[in-house]
Amino acid sequence: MSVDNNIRYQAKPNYIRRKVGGNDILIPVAENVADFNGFIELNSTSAFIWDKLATPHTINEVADAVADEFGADKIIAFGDTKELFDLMLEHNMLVEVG
Amino acid sequence: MNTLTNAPERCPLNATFELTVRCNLKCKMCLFRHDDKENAEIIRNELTAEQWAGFAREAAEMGTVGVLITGGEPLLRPDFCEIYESIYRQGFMISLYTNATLVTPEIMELLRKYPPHKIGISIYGASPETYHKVCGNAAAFEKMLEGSRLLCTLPSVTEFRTTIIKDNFCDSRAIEKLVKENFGERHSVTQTRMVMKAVRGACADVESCRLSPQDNVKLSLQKSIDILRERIGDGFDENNVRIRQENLKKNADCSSAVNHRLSLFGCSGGMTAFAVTWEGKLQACQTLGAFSTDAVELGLKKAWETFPLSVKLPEPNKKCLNCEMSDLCQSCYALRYAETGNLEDCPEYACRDCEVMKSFCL
Repeated sequence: MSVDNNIRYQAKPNYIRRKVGGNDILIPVAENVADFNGFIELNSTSAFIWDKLATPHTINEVADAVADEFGADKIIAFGDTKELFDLMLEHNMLVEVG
Repeated sequence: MNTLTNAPERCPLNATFELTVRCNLKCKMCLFRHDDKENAEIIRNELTAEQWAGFAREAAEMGTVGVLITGGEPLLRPDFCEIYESIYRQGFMISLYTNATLVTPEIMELLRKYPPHKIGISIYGASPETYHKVCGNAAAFEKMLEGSRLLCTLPSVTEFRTTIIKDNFCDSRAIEKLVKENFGERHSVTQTRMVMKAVRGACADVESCRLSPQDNVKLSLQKSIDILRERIGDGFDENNVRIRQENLKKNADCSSAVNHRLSLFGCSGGMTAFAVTWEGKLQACQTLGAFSTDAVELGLKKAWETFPLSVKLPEPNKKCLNCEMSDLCQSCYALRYAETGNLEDCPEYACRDCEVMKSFCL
């Protein structure tokens, strides 16, 4: 499944976001407990994107927000955001909201 | 006075929450179960659901990632669901240890909503007769099977765990077979390597029921010997089996450990792990009750921070310090304390186990 620019995506609620030893992590819960052999560590960009996806957004909206937040070039920000979206879709971490 | 200038940072990554030391079974080798006569007193002193919820909140703030919920039998608590949910909702990697005999529809509903990341199911025999001998309850065998079938429908990783004593020694292979037949080939059974004496006022007379060191070592090698027998066939003679002992200390890459790597007990206890007992004491692990701080009085964070101040270790005894079998030895401070009643004596059972293991080595 690849990202559709026109669809709004939202983070699945089956992860609990924690701060552990200064690191941002996601603990899979509910039916997702067996999806990952452990927890997921987020870097600052992916933590920002995950938090943004608490509410539905398209990839373009998220990439623009990343560019603004980190002062990044819009094309580079889009590429990085797409890479993470693909990874999250592959691991069934996002839902399509329409 | 010598001070530690290079002590590694302590971080409470893993916690054990011992909800109770009561159990519906009466396993002969249980480390933790008290005599039933003490139950009324124990119930009076067990932490409340609110206290466990408070400790879970504190543990999350302290950076704890993994929480093992155990007992006794944790499902025996009438408020188990309330406690479990409050811990789970903090966002930990949850492990739940249970004997699987008290799995009710209410508990399954809860676990379906909040499945543990891992479930450890203890299994002590392959028949009602063995359950009667080991746990004093023949009917528990069917209940365990029934409960395990339900627990195996959850998305959690399931681990079957057993402890072999004289009464279920002849079932050790049958237990493995039963698990594979009932729950699938992917499941294997984890076996306690060394059964230590009961701790912290528990009532089991472990010495009278645990295996001789000869049988204990044989059991620990059993799976490997079975594989060899299958591969070699008729000519196989298990008396000729020898083990090559790798010098782990010599071969290990110690570059990261050179800089005076220190710990409290030579393990993760009190450094990256802790246990909270049923009455609210914070210990390095569930077994070592010699040192503790009061998490009820101090709060969990303060109890964790001040725990090292409670630890006063004697000089190690010279026999253990210079022992040529130290690479094979199963003992640690907790085992030594359980076996001898103090922290410095040599645990004879572990020594004899080592000697037998050594006789198998090249």
